[in-house]
Amino acid sequence: MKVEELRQVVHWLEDARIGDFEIERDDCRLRMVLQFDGVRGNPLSVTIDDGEDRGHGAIVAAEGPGIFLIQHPQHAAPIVSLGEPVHTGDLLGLIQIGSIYAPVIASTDGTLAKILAVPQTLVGFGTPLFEIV
Amino acid sequence: MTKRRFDKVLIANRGEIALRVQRACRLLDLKTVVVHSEADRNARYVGLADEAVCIGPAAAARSYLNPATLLLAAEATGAQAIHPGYGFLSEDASFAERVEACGLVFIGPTVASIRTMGDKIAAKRAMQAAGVPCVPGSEGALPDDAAAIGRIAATIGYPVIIKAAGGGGGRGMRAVRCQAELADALAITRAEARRAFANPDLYLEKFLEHPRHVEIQVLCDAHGTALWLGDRDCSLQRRNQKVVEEAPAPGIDRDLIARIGARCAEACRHLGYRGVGTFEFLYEDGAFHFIEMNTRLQVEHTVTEMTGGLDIVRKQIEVALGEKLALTQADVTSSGHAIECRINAEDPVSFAPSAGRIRRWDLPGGPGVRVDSHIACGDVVSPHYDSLIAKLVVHGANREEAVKRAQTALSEMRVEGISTNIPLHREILQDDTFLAGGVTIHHLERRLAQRSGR
Repeated sequence: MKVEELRQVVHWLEDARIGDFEIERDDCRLRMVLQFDGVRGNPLSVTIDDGEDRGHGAIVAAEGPGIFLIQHPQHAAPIVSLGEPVHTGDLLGLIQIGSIYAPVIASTDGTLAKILAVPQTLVGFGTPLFEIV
Repeated sequence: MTKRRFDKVLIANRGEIALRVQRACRLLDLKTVVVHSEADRNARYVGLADEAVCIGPAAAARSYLNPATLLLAAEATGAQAIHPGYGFLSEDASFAERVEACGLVFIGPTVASIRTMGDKIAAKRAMQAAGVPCVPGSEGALPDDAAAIGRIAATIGYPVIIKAAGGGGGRGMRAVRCQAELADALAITRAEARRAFANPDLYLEKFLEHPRHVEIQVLCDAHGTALWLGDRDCSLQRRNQKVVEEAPAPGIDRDLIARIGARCAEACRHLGYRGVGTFEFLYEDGAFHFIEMNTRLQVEHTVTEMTGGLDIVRKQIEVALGEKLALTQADVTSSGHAIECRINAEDPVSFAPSAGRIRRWDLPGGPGVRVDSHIACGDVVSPHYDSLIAKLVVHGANREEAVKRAQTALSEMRVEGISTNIPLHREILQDDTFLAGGVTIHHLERRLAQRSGR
């Protein structure tokens, strides 16, 4: 991977304020963590009121467009299973943008109660992905 | 069939132009990806796209103006080309550069063309080199020495206008009536230019007192063909925002326009320009003076489509696909007269933007009437964006018929739930001076001032 390409990726991530990502090519694998104003990863948490019963949990939503994954492409098991306890900052899923994998991170402590988007489909900014109770 | 350069287009814009581009893509069997902010999630054109993806919150800086998010959306959806529409990032050379660096096609001119035309001094120099007539003014950027600037101004002759090289669209300029006003005006404009355009360069031009705004539409391919498609009169403006546009410009010698159009096409060949573009001129006392070039599709391309019978957006995309234009200048014709009224969601008197839910949306129709709009009844007009909600475009065999069609169409159009400038358009279409043709760029503001008794 060329330095120019790395620089381009870092620019994108800085602009999109993505704090943590992984990139894979045939011959290399790279993980980078970007620091923004002392906050790492800054998970997005929203409350949705559309009349649908989602319980009273915290919703973890996508921070940008990409393909929603609940398992790492090289692993058979999901990153987190329903009913498992999770902690703030835990990795819950991934958003794949080409060869970039952006993490979806738990915004609170609790139990993973629901997966709200269909895995392997395109999601966008604000799409609810997980519910934590 | 040979493989095309792209078969999926990401439309990096919103509103009526996002729908207009989508329609052109359909004609060419191209798949469309519409990106939208949270505020536009339920818009009609979003639902019509092959794929739609939310790229950010309502604030444009975090959605439509965020290059990284747009490029990520293109990567995630597999789009191979980006259509920037108008406004937003459409004339941002560094965005075009990043699109191309990602291996995508930017549906627009080359990065170099956007950059040259974005610098008004470089643009003027390029036009002079290509023989396009310009407003008399300073040679390049002004020096720092106030006395030297004073001499330049005296040579041009007062009144003069100071302009920022990075400005455009009416921003970053100040008229100076006499030498006593010069020093202060220079200091203010230079400070503004540094702040707003990150380019402190200024230049001086003769200030024209009663010009008309007349522009030339061009279309060029990447194989050396450059055509001018027609002229438009966009003099009816308020605060440098066009309100009514028409084609052709009334009362101007057609031979003179043809000569100017040919110069514009020649300048495009000289510059290696590709795609669509517009040369904007001030027209006064029988002479054309170049002011700037817009390196993108314009809102008012529709009036040229109506008189010329070409689908300009389709042609723009075909050229981006690398196709050779199958037209020559002799194939470009103009028939009849077209008028466009920009229907804005705003108070017709105070011009304050009017947001809210549209409760009634009755559109006009009949021969020679076209409405380009993304709006449906029940839609919410968001306060976050430009207030343009529809373009009413009419065509007639001559100007008189076009005016009558516009009057009738405006009388049929009813919008409730929000305020619009439809009453203002009805007034304009009854204004004797406008009906006579050839108003100056100050006409509408003067009329409005009279109306409010100022």
